Amino acid sequence: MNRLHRLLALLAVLALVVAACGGGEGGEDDGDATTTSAEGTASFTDVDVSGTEVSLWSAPTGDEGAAIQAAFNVYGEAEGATVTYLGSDSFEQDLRIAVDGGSPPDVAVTPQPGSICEFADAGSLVSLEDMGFDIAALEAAHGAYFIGLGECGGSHYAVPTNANYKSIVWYNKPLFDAGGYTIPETWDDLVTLSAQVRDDGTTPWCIGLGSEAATGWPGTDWIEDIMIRTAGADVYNQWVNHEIPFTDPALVTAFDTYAEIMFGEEFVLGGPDGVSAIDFRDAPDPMFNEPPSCMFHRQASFIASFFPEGVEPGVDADFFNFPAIDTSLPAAAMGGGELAIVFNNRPEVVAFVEAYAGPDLQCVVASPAGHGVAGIERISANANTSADCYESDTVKKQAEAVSAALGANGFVFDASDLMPSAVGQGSFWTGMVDWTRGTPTAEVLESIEASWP
Amino acid sequence: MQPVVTEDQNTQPSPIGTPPPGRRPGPWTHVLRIGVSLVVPVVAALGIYFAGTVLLDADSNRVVVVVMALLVGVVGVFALYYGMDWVVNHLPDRHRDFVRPFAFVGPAVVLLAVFLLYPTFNTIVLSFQDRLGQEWVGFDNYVAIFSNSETLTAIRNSIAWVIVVPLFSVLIGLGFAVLADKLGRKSEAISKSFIFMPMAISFVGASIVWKFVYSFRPEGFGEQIGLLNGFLTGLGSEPIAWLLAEPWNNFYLMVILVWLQTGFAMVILSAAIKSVPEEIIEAARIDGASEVQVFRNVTIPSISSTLVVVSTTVIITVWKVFDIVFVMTGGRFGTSVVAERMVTEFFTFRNSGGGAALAVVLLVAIIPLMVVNVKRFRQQEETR
Amino acid sequence: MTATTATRPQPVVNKPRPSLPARMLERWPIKLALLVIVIMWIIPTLGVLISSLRPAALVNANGWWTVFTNPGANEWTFENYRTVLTSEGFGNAFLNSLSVTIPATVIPITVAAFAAYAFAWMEFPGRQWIFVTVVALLVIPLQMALIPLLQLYVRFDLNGTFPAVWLAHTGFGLPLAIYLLRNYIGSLPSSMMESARIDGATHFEIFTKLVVPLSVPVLASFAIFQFLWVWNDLLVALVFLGGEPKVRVVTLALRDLNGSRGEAWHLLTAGAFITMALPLFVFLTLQRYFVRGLTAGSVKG
Repeated sequence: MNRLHRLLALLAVLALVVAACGGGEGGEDDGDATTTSAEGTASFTDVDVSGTEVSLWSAPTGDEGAAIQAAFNVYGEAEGATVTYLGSDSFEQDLRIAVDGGSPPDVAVTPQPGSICEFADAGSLVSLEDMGFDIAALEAAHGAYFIGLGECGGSHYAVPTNANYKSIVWYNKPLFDAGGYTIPETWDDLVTLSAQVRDDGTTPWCIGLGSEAATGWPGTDWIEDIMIRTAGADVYNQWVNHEIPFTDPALVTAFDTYAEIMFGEEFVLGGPDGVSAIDFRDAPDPMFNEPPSCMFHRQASFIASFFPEGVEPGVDADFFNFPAIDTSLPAAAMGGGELAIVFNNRPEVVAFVEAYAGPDLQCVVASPAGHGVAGIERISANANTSADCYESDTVKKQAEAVSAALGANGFVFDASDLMPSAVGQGSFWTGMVDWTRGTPTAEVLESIEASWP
Repeated sequence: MQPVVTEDQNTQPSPIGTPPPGRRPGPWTHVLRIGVSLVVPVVAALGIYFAGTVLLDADSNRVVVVVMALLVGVVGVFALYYGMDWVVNHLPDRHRDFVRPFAFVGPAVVLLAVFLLYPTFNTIVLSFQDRLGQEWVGFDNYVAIFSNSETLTAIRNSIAWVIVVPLFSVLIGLGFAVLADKLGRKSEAISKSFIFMPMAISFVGASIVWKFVYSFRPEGFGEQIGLLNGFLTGLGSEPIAWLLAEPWNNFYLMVILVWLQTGFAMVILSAAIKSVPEEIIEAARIDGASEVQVFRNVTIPSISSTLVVVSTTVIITVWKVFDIVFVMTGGRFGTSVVAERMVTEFFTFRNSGGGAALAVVLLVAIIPLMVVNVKRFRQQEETR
Repeated sequence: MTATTATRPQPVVNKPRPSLPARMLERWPIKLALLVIVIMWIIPTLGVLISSLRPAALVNANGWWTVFTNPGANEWTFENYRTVLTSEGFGNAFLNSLSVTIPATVIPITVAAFAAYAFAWMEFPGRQWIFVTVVALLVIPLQMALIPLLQLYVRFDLNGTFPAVWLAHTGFGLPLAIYLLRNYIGSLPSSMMESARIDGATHFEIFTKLVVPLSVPVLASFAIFQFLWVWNDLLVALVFLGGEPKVRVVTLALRDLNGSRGEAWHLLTAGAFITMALPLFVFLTLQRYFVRGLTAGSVKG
């Protein structure tokens, strides 16, 4: 007892001393905020933000991160302000630590809308309403679906800053043309075509689920692309929100449909057993072997940057949209995107977020013409961003598909990014791995369902 | 001063510095004890807080920063202890001997209380709360751990890790330290640095190292770039997806940690071997003991306490391992371990309650190990 | 030092060493055994070293051992190293790492050595259970401590400073340091301590003039490990210091070189070897303190 008291006393004294020290010296520096004169005309925002600083965290690093910072510098120079970009491979974890620790950045741009409401419910975020955004105007520019992704408890918290398109099937163009094949319009066409390609002597599909700690995710994209095309957008959204269980017949149908390709006879290079061992970055490579070892590869637009050196999109490789399955359903597009969430409500932060989502700065960040970093193109999530902002035809084509789908409300977000992380970054991924390695569909679905928090 | 004791003083074995019998610490002694415990950390905190503002000035010369860091860190801390000893020396007689140990041990205790004990209490509290740490849920998180097949697999795997890895890394480390001890100085240093090297390589580097060993490419994905499969295909066999091969993939991952930890065991054990007094070894040799006998009857008993320390440390390190599993397999294919589950639950799944409960399980599970250590330290004090 | 099969008693001083050929003969099995282990340990690293010297495209095309089996098909390049070393802010990051690592190595050793001495040779209430708690703290996963500590730091405005990182590394490194040092210091012969006390030495003098010099091997070994843990740490530096180019450490600078989806690992291999150089140098430097004979003359009581 006595000893315990002594320890407690010791801790109490320490706490007092430390508190006393901390209280005295509150506000530090801010001193070196440069006194850049706000000359030049403010072209991105009407608010006077000269001399202010905004910090923004997100996931992209490397060239993509450099391009984002470059675009922010364009804004900064025009407005006399500083916007600091910090990209990180462990962005999600870093952000969580910083928020829980009480030192969040001003803005974070997250690719996982599922986390937005977790932060909002914990009271960490500033709502768009509180910052004075016009929700109707945002819905007009970004589509009601995209804005709705950031809605928690009646308030909105997120502005989309970027979109990407995932319903893409890549193919080896010379081989495809030489075989005289035609672009499949439906899933059945695709399966028939796969069999035909196999009979002509090439393995039709290259699939790789490997991604270190995230192994399995490329498989979830397949299921999502199939779900939206077999069950439609309403059921898709019910699935995402857990209004139907993961064991719903719609899911069984989706897995059975995927099985037509995954377990099709000699359809997949290396066999379904091996796909988990293949890194998604290496997965498309055999498409460009001499002679090609496979014909098709389903992956989002970014994969083009992993094609082997010398492969030119549009010449050596081309893509078609993931074909319709139930043709009675409207045309769909599955994709992802990044959404800006705000932690600190200051005028310069609000002004910047508004500017970043707006068509002018979006155009800057869209292509090398704006930000100056070669090879980096980002598709805008703002329908008002001009198509002229993009450089390459492939990206232009994707941007059109996205903005058309956004306009028609036919766009759905990658489901695994919307689900709670225990599923969307956990059991759904592991479930795909187990399934390709022979675990029965029902068992996989039950274990995913059981993990839903 | 290098006092050299040539023979046993044969004094009664009382711990030195024991306060004279008959005196008891008064209330002021307690205050002083707490006071001296706090002086070093508080003065240091103020000092480095001040230094820190200088150190972080964006434009300050980096070389100046390094020098400052050296001054504050190296000279400053020692000077604080020196100053405190001076203060204790000037305390009234009746307090001095009671207070002095706290001048020595207090700063460490305070630092540990802030940096480890406080977070531990925090974790224990969290483990009884829900995912977001908002509501009390009693033992639900613990029930969940022991009813979830995935965490049960993780516990089973962790136990295997804790048996296999320390066994191999301590044995190889010990063997290497003993054998290298018989080499010349240069060749000893060089050969030891090769075993040490894996520890020096950053974790990112290490994970790439082992990708080049275990990498697997199915037919059509090009030549093998993994060493093991390169070897197999060179012999005309089929390549193997090593990390997918349950349950052996667990052992392939353990190899990585053995590779990393052996250097630690070797360095510490080597230092211990060097401290075995030459005379004892020579005396044994003169008595006609073979090298093996010398090793078994002289070296091993002399370093036994270090062996326990190294084994304990390696066991705890293994028990906490998560990054190897995280990076190589992400815990898939039946390879998850408890610490990896903990980090995944806490950071990826944002389940702070579940993650904290796993951390508490980690903590509780090492209690037997602590009991062994306490017994051994008691023994050491009785026999020295 | 060397193994000897001599059975007849020999004087300890001026012991005649066996002839050189005899010693060579005795040593070769030892050398062979060591060589086998060294080769096993070094082959995985060798693969990466060779890969870091090859163009990225070749690394992906065939195994690193083809430089031996088919040397003609290989190209060597320093491009990966050049890219890393000349990347923006790398020199600055290197100095940042030094500013973090040196104090974060020395402070815990100092604090731990004083505490270890007290645990081993001083009598005070709670000695045993405080020590057990310290060792038990070894098992606390770093990850669980980050958020509570960050909250403390933010409250006291310490976040983002070098001292914040020093203190964090000190706290995390202390349990092992105290544990290792207390074991070693506690095994010093009590006769030696007693005689120093009889000579009138204070605890502080015994500690600085007797215990510290005698504990150099274990101090050196802990210094080596603490140095390389801090040097290679990414998480603590990222959380408490931040990732801005101004303050980021080498590990963070390297990570930022990596492409957005991890494609630039040929740079990571080169980076791994560059960052490995300093810990290895520290190891080789401190090796010299791993010498026997420090406790010479003090036979255990």
